[in-house]
Amino acid sequence: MNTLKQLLRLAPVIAAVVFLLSDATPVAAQARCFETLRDCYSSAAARYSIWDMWLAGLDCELGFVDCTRRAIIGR
Amino acid sequence: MLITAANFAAAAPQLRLTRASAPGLVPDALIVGRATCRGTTWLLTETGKLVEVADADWTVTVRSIRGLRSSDNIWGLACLSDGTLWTLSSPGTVARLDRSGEIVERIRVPLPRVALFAAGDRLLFQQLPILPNVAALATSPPRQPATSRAWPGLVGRDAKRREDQIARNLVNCGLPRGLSVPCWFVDDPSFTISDGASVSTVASPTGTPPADRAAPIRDVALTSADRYWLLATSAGGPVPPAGTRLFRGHERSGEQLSLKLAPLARLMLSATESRCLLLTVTGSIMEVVVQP
Repeated sequence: MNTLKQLLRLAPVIAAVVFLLSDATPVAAQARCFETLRDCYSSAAARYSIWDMWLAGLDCELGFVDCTRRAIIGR
Repeated sequence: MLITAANFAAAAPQLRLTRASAPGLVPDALIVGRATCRGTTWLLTETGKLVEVADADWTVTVRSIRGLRSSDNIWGLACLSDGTLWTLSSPGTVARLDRSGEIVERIRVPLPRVALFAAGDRLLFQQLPILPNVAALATSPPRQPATSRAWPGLVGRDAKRREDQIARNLVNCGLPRGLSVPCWFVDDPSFTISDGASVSTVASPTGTPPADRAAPIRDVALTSADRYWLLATSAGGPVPPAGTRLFRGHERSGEQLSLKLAPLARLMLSATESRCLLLTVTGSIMEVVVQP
């Protein structure tokens, strides 16, 4: 009975893990590209000058394009 | 009447898988570029391999790209009407490859390019910045990158966030027919055909199950007589997306034939009005033909 109660408590956690592990869709792959872009934008915003921020932002977008095209367009 | 109906049913054309090679002919690395010219299909992999596939006898030759630099990030492959092969060695550089896979020429381009295809004797490309309401593609002679001009057809779509604007405006193009090139936004179930002057839009054939909304079209090939082949994905399909169903359609009449594919297909290698060669996810080549 105790074992059953423990399992029932863990059920939502197990379900969440299964959901995350099974979420291997192109949309999920692209979602990782979005996450990386946001992190990159944050780093770019910490640069000293507007010019450095803008250049860093462009690099972020190039990286995002590369990530997305590999996830969706690459065959 | 019964005999007439039976004869009519027997005469309706169908798509059939007629031949397939052994698996593993083509490496399973991500293919980042595909070009066709003069009876040969060229594939470029992200691991720096140039794969040559002869349409006539399916001979496959794999060569390593030579002359790559550590900073290179190759993408795209174009074979121009003069037979030269071009790729993007980086967003800021177009590189010419010889048939042995050696990089023999590098040309700097003024704006970063993120996709590369061929349109006759000109390179067809997508460059940054990606903007709404502006032609998504441009062309230029390979050695005169500053003389680029807009390619009529796809027009950038707006989005609220900058990253969505970039993501939903990424373009892919398929196998051309002469100067006519089929291109589409990766999340769009329709494609446009442009020859640099006139443009038409073709809606994807419908099929069951529905296509993957993130990338419904995997590949398109134009053939003679205004026909096309289209490789469609399915919702819930594999990652990266693969073609689960092959259609042959007519650009105007809506006539449509389809075939569920097994194994799934990565891309089309070549196509004529009645025959389509596909590269499968197992690395094999398979042939689908229209049979009466």
